[in-house]
Parts: sequence; C-alpha cells; structure tokens
Amino acid sequence: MSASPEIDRLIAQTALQDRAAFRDLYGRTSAKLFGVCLRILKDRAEAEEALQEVYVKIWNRASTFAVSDTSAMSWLIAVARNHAIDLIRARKPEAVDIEELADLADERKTPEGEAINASEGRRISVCLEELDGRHAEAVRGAYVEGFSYQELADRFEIPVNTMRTWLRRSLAKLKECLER
Amino acid sequence: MSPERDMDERDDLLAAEYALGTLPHAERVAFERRLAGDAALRARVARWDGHFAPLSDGIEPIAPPDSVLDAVEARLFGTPARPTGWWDSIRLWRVLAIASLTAIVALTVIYSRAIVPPGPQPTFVTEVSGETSDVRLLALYDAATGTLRLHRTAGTPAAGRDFQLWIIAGDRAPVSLGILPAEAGSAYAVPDDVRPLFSETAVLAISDEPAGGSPTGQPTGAVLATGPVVRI
Repeated sequence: MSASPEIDRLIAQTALQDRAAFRDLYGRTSAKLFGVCLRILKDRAEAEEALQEVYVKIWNRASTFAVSDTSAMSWLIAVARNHAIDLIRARKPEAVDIEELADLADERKTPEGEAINASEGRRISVCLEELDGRHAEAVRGAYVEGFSYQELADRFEIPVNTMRTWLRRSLAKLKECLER
Repeated sequence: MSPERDMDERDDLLAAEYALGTLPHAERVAFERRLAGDAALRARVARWDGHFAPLSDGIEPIAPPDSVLDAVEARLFGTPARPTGWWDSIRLWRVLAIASLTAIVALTVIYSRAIVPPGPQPTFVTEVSGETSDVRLLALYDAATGTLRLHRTAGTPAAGRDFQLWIIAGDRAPVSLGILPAEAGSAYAVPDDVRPLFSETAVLAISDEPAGGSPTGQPTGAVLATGPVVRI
C-alpha cells in the first residue's frame, strides 16, 4: 500500500478525540471503504449500516493504530473488511476441515518473522502471477468479494475440503514469495 | 521442523486465512478471541493485511450517502455536527487547543484550587517543557477512564535514543509512563497501579534514554523537560 502520511496524521489526531480530523478522515476514506463493504455485502442498505459501524470502530480503535506498524490505508481497509466478513460469515456459518495439513507446513523453508515493509505490499500482484491461474483467482475472489470456502468450491466445482487445502497451499506459496 | 516452528507456521496460515476472510465462522470467532490477547498474532495479521491491501486497488470507491456520517456522529458525539468554513479548519483548532490548554494551565496555577471545587473524577493537565531542550509535550489525564492523552508539539529524540515519560509523586522515585511514541499525538490507558500517582503534588518529566527506554527502570539520561500536574 502506498504511503499516506496525511491519513496517518488524521488517524493519530482521531486517537486524540479530534472530531474535525475524524470528519476529514471520513471525507477522504469513506468512498473507498464503502466500495469495499458493498463488494462483500452486495446490498446497499447493509453496506451503509456496516460503514457506520466501521467508522465507530475507527474512532474507538484509532489509538491502537498508533502502536501498529501497518500503513494507514491497510489498517482502515482491514477494519472495513473484517466487519463486513464477520457479518456474512455469521449469516451462513460453515465448518471446513483441512485435508493433508501435515505436509503443508513442510513445504516452506523461509525463516520466520522478517518484517515486511508496507511499501513492498504491491508485490502481492507479482507473487499471485507465480500461482496457478485458478488459485490466484480464488485468492482475489476471497479478498475482493468475500467468498467463503463453500462459495469458492461451488465456483471451481471441487469439494469444499479440497478447496480449503488448495487455498492454504496457495497462501503458503504466497508467503514464500512475499518474504523472498 | 521443531514443534514451535510448526506452531508458528500454523498460526501464520491461520492469520493469512483470517486476513483474507476465508476462515470459517467458528474458527474465525475463536481466532478473534485469541487475537485480543496475543500481540504477536496481531502482528502476523497486520503483515498479511498489508500484503493483501493492494488487491483492493481495483475496488471502485463509491460515495456513501450523507446520512451515514450523520448517524456515525450522532452515535459518537450525541449530535451531528457539520460545520463549514473556518470552523472546519484543523490548523485553527490545533492552534486554539494548544493556546487554551496553556491558558488553562496558567490560570489554574494562578487561581489555585479555590475556584475549582474538587469533583469525584478529576482531569489533570501538564505542560512538559524545558530550558535546555526543545521538547514540549501536553499531557491530559482523565481519572474517570485512566486515559493519558499526549500531544508532542515540538522536539524529537536523537538518533538511537528515545524520550521516556515519568511521573514523580511527592518524594517518591519516578515511575515510568512509557516511551513517547514517534507520532505527535497518542493515547493509552495508564496501568491501575500508576493511576493514584496523578495528583497536584506530582510532576511529569521527560528524560533522554537509550532506544527502547531506561534499562534500569529509573531515569538514566538527562532530564530534558518537566512540568507540574495541574488539576482542572
């Protein structure tokens, strides 16, 4: 995500209960976050209600952003996506087992814990290129549309457990690529 | 692979599934419960959030109706406030806020306690400044919530050093209130055992410390700035 010192500053001031800064932050970011909520919830009235909750959370949690090293827009988008995803997952709860977990972890040899600079975030598109086309499509669909494993499985016409195993392998490969 | 490494790998994949949003409901709820008490896990999620965020570049921004902001402000502040023009100027309010806080400090010192009857949940304000350093800090402590809000108006630590904030109550040893964050403004909850130290006999001080703070639990570097805690 590109650096956004202005948004950073507005969040820091929001943490100090600065209402004008909060309104300014809303003015600059609400269209993006509304777009994000709408893509996942696919219902305008629900997305409006979700957006309201999202900005109440942003006001209440702004001080927690000050201590994290995430980029400002990544943080805001994550607050919006998490809220929208919580809503749709609670609506249709599903349980999905994982197949073949044991051999999954062994595939990767990268050392743990390197801090990834937020400015390197754009590399996700490069790393998605390295995946099988359908796998990359599944990751994008899950992120942008908020698809569940069941919805992805229906789309790709494979069993849901296989879908989850598939996607976890893709995430493991992505991680290996992103931390390379 | 060691069991710990294995656990790390599993946690990282769970963090990725959580950030991506595919974690099924029951696992998601359980994971969120773990997140609340696990900073390392939150850091994993934040890293994945950062990785995935560029995928939202293709999502078209859509302006929400005005009613959403009205509803947010009504919920947070009681009334929707939608002023325009100079009223909206952040710079003006920042300058006014600093000026009025300074005025409050000065007036309260001059007129002392007589005018302000002690309330059950006092608020304390301190202007921390020094003659030998340019660091200046406004600190506002709300005893009702135990929240300390900081606004640094000037000064940055030297490379490889940190500013550390202390409270000194009467003749007791200084107690750390933490490292001043790099951001100008911040707010955090003061630990329960430190809260009673806020009183009108206390002083806040900023010392120059090695990065990460004093290794001894007491100030080791120069005291750069001080200011009395004033009840308002």
